[in-house]
Amino acid sequence: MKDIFFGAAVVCFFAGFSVSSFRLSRNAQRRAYWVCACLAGVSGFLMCYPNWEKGLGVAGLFFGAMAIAAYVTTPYIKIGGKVYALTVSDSQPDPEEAPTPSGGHASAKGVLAADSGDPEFDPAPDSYSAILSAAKMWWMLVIVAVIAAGNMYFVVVGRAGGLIPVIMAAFITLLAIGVGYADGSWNYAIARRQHFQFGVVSLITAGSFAVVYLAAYFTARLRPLRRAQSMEYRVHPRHSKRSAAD
Amino acid sequence: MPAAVSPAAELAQRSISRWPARGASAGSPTSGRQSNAHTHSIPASTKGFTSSEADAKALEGFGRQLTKAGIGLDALFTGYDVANGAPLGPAAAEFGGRAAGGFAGGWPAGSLWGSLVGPEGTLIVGLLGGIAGAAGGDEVVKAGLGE
Repeated sequence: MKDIFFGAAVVCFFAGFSVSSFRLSRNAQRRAYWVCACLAGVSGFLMCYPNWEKGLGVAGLFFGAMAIAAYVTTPYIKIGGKVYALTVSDSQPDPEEAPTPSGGHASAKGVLAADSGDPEFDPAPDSYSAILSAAKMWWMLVIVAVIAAGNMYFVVVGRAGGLIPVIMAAFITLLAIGVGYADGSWNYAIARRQHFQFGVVSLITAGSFAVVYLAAYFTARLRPLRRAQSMEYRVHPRHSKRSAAD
Repeated sequence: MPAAVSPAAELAQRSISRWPARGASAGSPTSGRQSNAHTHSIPASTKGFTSSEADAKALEGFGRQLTKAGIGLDALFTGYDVANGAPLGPAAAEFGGRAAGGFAGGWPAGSLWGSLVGPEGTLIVGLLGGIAGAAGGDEVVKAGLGE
């Protein structure tokens, strides 16, 4: 029976992750997704039956995984009429509720100027590649900084070792350089005005993130990197206009 | 192209240069408007560029599918292990660490690459960032649990 319910959970995950492929209204997709999430949770519970404790844990694990996936990859979390999602495109209002493109608002996936019909349209002027808003980007960096600093802490106290802490240290350093260079190259304010998260990340990393970030930021102000292929040109029309004027 | 790159990722990479130029994506309902919306303002140096907004969206779509596959498979195998005797608490905590590290590492890395370099390579960089973040999240939870 365990394997049968595991198979049922696999089907529920697959079905839930596939609903966006069908030509359904956003609300119908959302309902179908959460029905699949609930059924995955029930399957997880029955996998462990009669162990109630583990059953509830696995049910929560499966439902939680689908909730995380919903936040990160879909616009299916909608509470009180507001869509909660990680990406800029998924955070837009449902297409059934959004004003027409000529009104200057985004369509379902329309976060590019071209989609709105208005070349000046920019629904998230501080976003990184129109994928993450500045606030969400910097909260993500807080999470990475916590993980990197945690790894370093456990190395120092002798409870971890090997390559992964080194990789995490290199990764947070590369992110600091990348975000600093991206912000400086396109003349954004420091940390795109996410000063609280910037302070938290700097505190967690004992100031090292701030040093690397600011070095990259001010280097980029002197020697900006503005590749023609950069997403900044595509998603923030003001950059195109500025370059054309230059 | 590194040997470790999956076929899907490699296909995504190749499709950037294979697909038609800006505003000419076959089947794209917005392709005409895309073309008109940008040609007056895009820098001259970008006019020979071979990928379009549709390509960028396709890359984001690949990123979504990778995230779903990663989180879904990880949750299912973790649940299966728990059902077969693994302790619930540590297994769930390690799953949480991997999930948080994975999306917190992957999406910022991909977004930054797109901002600095462009769509080419975004998927690979996002994937590498996700793997690094997930490995780091897993390691820190394990160390915290004393494993």
